Amino acid sequence: MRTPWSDRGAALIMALMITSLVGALAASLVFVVVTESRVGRNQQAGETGAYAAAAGVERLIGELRRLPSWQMVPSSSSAAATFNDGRPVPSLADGTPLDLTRLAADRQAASDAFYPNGPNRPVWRLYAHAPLTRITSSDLRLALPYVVVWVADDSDEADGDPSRDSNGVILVRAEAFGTRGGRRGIEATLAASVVRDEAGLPLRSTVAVVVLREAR
Amino acid sequence: MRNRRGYILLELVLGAAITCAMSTALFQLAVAAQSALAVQGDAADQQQRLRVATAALRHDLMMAGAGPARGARAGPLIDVLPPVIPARIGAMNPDPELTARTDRISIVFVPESRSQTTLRSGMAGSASPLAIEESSAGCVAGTTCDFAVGDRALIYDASGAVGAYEIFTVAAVDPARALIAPSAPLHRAYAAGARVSIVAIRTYYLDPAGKRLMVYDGDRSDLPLVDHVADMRVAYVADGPTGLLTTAQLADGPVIGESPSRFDGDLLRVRRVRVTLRLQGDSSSASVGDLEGTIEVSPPNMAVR
Repeated sequence: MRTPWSDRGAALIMALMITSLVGALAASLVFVVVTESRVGRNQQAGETGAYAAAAGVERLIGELRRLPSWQMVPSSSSAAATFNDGRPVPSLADGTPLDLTRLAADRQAASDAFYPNGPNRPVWRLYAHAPLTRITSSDLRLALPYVVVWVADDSDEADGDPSRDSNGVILVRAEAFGTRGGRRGIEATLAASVVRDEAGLPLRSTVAVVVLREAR
Repeated sequence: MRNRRGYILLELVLGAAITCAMSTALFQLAVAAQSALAVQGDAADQQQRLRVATAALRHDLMMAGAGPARGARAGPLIDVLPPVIPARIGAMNPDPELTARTDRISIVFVPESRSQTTLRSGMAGSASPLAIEESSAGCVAGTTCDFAVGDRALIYDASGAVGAYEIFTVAAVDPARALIAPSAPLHRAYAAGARVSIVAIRTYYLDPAGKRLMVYDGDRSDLPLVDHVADMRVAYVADGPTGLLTTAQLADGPVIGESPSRFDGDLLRVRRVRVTLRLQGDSSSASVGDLEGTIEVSPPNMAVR
């Protein structure tokens, strides 16, 4: 006979309650840990991106040092750069394609919004693009950023030709693209300079960094 | 036949004991899990505060010394003034000249903007308004190169003499005549060609009473950046064999510049800055120990190439 106060099933209810409580606490812990590790990864990716963009500028400086003249740098094709990977549609480490045409249009629009209209307004050209592993010649297998470098003639000139440098000063912008939308940039103004000996005779040409800024 | 209409005392006692034991175990588990969760959350918060502080410091140190990018005498500020100063500078409660402390750092740089130009003509006197050149690259005529009331601006001599500089607040602009007026007379009259740029100042310092890392913009904004900061130490590293510069070395001369902006010449040799922060956990959780983090930055605009 079934009694009205039967305790059959109480153990199941108790077990379910305890499991729910422990499960909720465990889920909270997992949430905190997962969020924390994501935040940490994003910060690490951001810092890697900043250094990758700086590496792009440094690599360009290395190439400029070898040039006898910068006259044609603002109009040079990206094929001239030794670290260019030559891919028309590069993709990031997670497979996301990078639309270089749209990026170039965005770069030019941002520049035009800053520099007043005129014959010496900078016209940006893609100088090189490659994964950081190629830029640094490393064989790391990590998901490292993809670096894009643009160059332009500076706006201080009065020659009216933004495709030709005539004062030994050019503008550079390097951007590093990581996974999950990570993007960091650096802008620099570079000037051709000559190292002289004590007698004032030219020893070698070099590159002076007029200014270098993190771009946001 | 056994009577099933009631409990005997032994059954009640056993039932109560089992219930008590299970409840105790359950509560202990819940309390342990809750405290673990609180500690985990506190540790995560502590790490996040450290990330915020180091990210802000790293960004500003990377910018330290960036100067005007356009026009004559474009280039890094280190040719004119020290971009990192171990003291609080600015309009509100500045430290005395030649102060060197390890719990604070001021960072100076010229942000990217159109407000980078020169003096069109020399100042008649130190209290005269500044007649600026609107034909400079990036400047648009009739806009006073985007200078606005309240901007912090830097002026320095065109000769490039180290130490001949001042930082002031723009009190008024006159676009029709391309004039900007400082909020107080400058300490000297500058000649035509002197560089005038907008400038950014960030003073990071420890507020020991409130245990907070503060950021002061050199003008009127003095705000906490992160809480529960137990300690902040800034170290300056010079190039060459000298290496680490002590606070005594950063205050003993040679003295360069003109009052009220004189500084120790050793500051011009700084090439790397190391900042160490020690953060406490939230006071409600005693289980989280202090978290210490160090960043070391070589500001690219202070590098010798």
